[in-house]
Amino acid sequence: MNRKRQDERLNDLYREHSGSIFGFLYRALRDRERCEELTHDCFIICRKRLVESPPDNERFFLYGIAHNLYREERRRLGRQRRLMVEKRDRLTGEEITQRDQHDELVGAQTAGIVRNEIGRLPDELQVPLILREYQDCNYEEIAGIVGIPVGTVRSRIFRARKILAERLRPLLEPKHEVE
Amino acid sequence: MHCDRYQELISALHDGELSDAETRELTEHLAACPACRLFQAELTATGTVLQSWDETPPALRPLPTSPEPTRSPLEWIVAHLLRGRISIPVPAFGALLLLVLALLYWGRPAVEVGEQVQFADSDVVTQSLGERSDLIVFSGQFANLEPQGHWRR
Repeated sequence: MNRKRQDERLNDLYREHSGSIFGFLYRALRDRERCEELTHDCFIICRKRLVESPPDNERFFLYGIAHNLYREERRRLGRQRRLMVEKRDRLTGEEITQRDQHDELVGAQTAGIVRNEIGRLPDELQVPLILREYQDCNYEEIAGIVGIPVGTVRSRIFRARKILAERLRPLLEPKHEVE
Repeated sequence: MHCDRYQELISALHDGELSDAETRELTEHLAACPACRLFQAELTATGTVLQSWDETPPALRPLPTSPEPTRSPLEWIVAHLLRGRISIPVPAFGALLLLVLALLYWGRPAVEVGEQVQFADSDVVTQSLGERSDLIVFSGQFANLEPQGHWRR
């Protein structure tokens, strides 16, 4: 593949996948500017690797690069900053029950609660859940992206959902609580 | 303990990732286990909450484009010549060079600023007029003359 065709292919990939790669990084890191940088880094790395070994599944390939960038970023940030952010705008399910349900269970605040509860999940549970729930990846793709067996993906997604079901119980419809 | 495995299967069923055999096994278990039915309802409701209250990520902003450096036509030509994008045959280049030299010679002021020249049988010293170095004025008795350009000795 010559240079011009490589650039055209990269442009096509960027148009097609940059939004979803950014969406994945943003859901996992919640820092718009940094996630934009990482998204562009992802395509820079992709450009280099396209020359070395063109992938079969480009979407999967891009998510793999994005996941590596995410892990590096998390290492760089360290646990401290993440905890500070959580503490700043955490509003747990238990706190909601003490407030006026009608006012609190609507709008951005509810979205914020869901976001924070996903953010509080351990990394190894958070990434497979985001890839499954929001990025529409199947278990096999997630296994390839994260580098774990399919059975482990299934188990981690189940554990993540179980934790979220407990923490978000106050947000669930009343009929589900009494069934 | 026994139900944990089935609850994992419920989660996988939610994602459409169960085999036919596992689906049949789970269906049989659900028919007999109220706790797993409750878990299934709760998991479905959690999935609905996750989707309904998903905070859509903002749009990815395009990369900032760096402005093209402004270049004079001469800089542009030199740069392109150096890169080999413009090829000029040697005779054409020679003719072009001669043309440029001729223009430079005929276009230059005949009298330099500060130079003593003869004008109407008198010695005068040329002076510059502001920043217009191609215009000269005269001192002495000709100081009231209009500024002139390209005077020859």
